[in-house]
Amino acid sequence: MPRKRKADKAIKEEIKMELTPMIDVTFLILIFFLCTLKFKTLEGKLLSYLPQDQGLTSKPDPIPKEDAEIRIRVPRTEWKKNEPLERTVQFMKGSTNHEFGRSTGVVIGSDGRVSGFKLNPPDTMDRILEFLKRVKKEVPDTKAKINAWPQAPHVYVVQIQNLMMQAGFREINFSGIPKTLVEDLQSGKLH
Amino acid sequence: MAKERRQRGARDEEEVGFNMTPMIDVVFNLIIFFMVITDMTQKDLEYLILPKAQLALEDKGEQKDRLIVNIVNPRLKDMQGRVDPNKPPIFYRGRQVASIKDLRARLRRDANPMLRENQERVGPDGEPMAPLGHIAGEPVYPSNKPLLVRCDQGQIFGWVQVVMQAVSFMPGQTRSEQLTTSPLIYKLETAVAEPSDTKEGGG
Repeated sequence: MPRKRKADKAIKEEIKMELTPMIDVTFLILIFFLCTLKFKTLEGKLLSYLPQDQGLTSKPDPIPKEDAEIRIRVPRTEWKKNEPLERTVQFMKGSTNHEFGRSTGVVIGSDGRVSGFKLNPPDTMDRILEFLKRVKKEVPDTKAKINAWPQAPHVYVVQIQNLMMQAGFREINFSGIPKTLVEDLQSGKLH
Repeated sequence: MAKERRQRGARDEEEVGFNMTPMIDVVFNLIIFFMVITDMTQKDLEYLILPKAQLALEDKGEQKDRLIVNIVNPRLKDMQGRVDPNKPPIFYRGRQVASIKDLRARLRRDANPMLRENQERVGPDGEPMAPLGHIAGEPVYPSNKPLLVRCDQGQIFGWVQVVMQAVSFMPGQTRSEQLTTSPLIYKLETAVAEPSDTKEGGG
């Protein structure tokens, strides 16, 4: 009988679990997660749909009467934070292709606001928005197109897209770039 | 006497040993917490400064199989040394793409419009979609996978244009070439930051 008790004790000792390696591994996992942790950052997005039957076109397309088009013309200078850049914003409406005002030298600050004028154009970003709203109200089916130069900083294109959305445009078209410019981009000529 | 001292000594030894169970519980709870809140999809997000837009929709990242293309700015401090100047400044799945052709091929593989489960048969307004064409008798529809384009605000828009063309139709290719090589993605999301948000980075 005492022998049986001894055997039970031996079995009990044998099944005792060694915790040290598990704690080591657990701590390693914990340190790994602590080091790699990056909290999810909240971002926003602007939705758009590309045409399904064809891509962006780089060919000049005839502008229907009711179309509005904003062209951003940007000099070949680098975009630098907190430094205003000279750029030309042209707003074209209808087949007459006239510019919106005489906006030949609008200076857009890095905050997206028009901070000064090179020449004396009568328009500002707010007035472009006002104009877009009016066009949209008068002709609800108006489509908008952003014809940005490949050298234009992305931030300005987003601002123009945002303006168009503020004005109520649901369908915004983007102009594409020809094959030669794609090659120039890849070879670094457009950097 | 000696026996009594030994017994007391053994009791003292037992008293100084600490109970590991609560510590293990706490550590396991911490691990579970970190595992839950760690978002592994962040590996697709490169460091860049997003442009601001007032009308941005909140990006909840609800679609798990969304594809993400990062157009980085090599001039940013955090990206210096990571960007090969001889390749496009475009990162896909944590790796800089060798060329636009390479990006197109990789997106085609991931958004494969030839697979039935990847085919979008209903348009954005709920209307039925017609096939874009046929390959070996199989209809080709646009891919149902959306593409998030994250472009640094100081980067030139030309790269975004190239990505837009690479995921749909590239200039200079015939229609049958396009159908066999294009990812045929048409749902595009442009990542932006909210105006009050001055954060930098994101991945």
